[in-house]
Amino acid sequence: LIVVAEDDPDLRETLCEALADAGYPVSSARNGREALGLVRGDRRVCLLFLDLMMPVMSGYQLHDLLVADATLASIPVVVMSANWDARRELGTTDFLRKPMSLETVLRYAARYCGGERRSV
Amino acid sequence: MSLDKGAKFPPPPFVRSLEHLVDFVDTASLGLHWVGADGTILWANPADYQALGYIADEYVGHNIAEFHVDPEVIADILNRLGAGERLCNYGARLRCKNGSVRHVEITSSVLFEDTPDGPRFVHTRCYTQDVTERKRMEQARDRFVSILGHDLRNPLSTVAMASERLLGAPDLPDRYRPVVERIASSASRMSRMIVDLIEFARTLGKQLPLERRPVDFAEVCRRIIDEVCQASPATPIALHVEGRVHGSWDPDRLAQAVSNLLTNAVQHGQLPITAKIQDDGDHVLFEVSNAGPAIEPDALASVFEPFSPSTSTSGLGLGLFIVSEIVNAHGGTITVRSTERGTTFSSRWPKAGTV
Repeated sequence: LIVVAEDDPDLRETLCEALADAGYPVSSARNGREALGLVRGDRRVCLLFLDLMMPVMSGYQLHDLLVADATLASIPVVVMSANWDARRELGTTDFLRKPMSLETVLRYAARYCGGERRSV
Repeated sequence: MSLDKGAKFPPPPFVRSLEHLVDFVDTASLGLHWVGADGTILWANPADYQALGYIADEYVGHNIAEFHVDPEVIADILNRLGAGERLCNYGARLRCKNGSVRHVEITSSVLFEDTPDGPRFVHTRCYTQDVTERKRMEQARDRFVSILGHDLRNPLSTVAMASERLLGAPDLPDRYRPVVERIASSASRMSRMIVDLIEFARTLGKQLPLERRPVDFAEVCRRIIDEVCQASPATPIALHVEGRVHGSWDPDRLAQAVSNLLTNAVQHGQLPITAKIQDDGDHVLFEVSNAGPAIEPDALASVFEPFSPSTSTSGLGLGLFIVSEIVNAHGGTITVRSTERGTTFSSRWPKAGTV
């Protein structure tokens, strides 16, 4: 299961549709808190696409919570942001700079969830 | 501060000079004051207290800390001054009589007097410049950058990914394929423009921040050539590497400069396009050359200026300006020469901190 945490509804739906088209089961969250509920509630989560600037709970806050929680720290997180410096701030190399390409999104999905695909 | 204006005889020249000096200080638009070692304001010109809405008696004789919003800031200022440091454009916030806050920059040093017991703190010599309006402009600029950086990129991501998805759909009618390709290519161009505008706004009046790390110039260049050639498959770029071209640079900024130079050659030059990286002692020389007609001398002179219409990587004329900012921030230089045989951009990157 791939979780997409993104507050922009058009972008969220586009990402979810594209991943679903490629055969991945997908759940979406409008903010960090919803995403936290999803990753805590489903052990099948193989990847989280995480926007940083979101209401209620930001991607930064969720990232910190995940890193600090031993049961969730192993979930791969791909950060999506327009801010290149965020990559350094979070110390992550799995980073999609907005506007991102679908090809790169699908490459990350294949890297972390390749086995989960229903079909291509 | 005044002199006795009821004097019977015209004052001698030095007194008249002093009167003029006092008049000059009293009518200055820059705030000036003296502060004693204990923080008491000993003297101030009208611009200093009037900027905060006070009259002289409400200001002179009071402790300077009463007017600062941030106690730790004025404590730091007084500590540094007491230690003999000279402050230049030190940022602080002052509270006005009506409660509003002004942003100021303080330049100050202490007048010390030699005594048998050692130097004596006489008073500070403090110049206060109100930069509230500039701060407001900077905040507006930051908001503008934030809008460009975040708010515009989400819809742009949607356009880019939706068009990619359509192009990958086997049942997309052929007659619509060029239409969707144009949407994808416009989204990509708009994305480059946004990156350039953000970088331009960030560099205005500031030194570009760098995070230097050991970098292999050739490795960065190969990656960028791959990216540029993927976007323009009909435009091959030949790379020549001579010697060991490692150094301490900011890899992201370096990649951005290389990308802008190569994209500029692809968009404005003719084949062949070559990139050369060469070990040059304590520098690395990086040249991008392309064939094509000479750039006009007038255009050549302004090629690194922002919004230069002559050449650009984005359509905004910011690409080469950003390159020059990145090279300068690394302590390097960049030049361009252009003849009928072609155009070459030569940049020299100090290896400083090479490992």
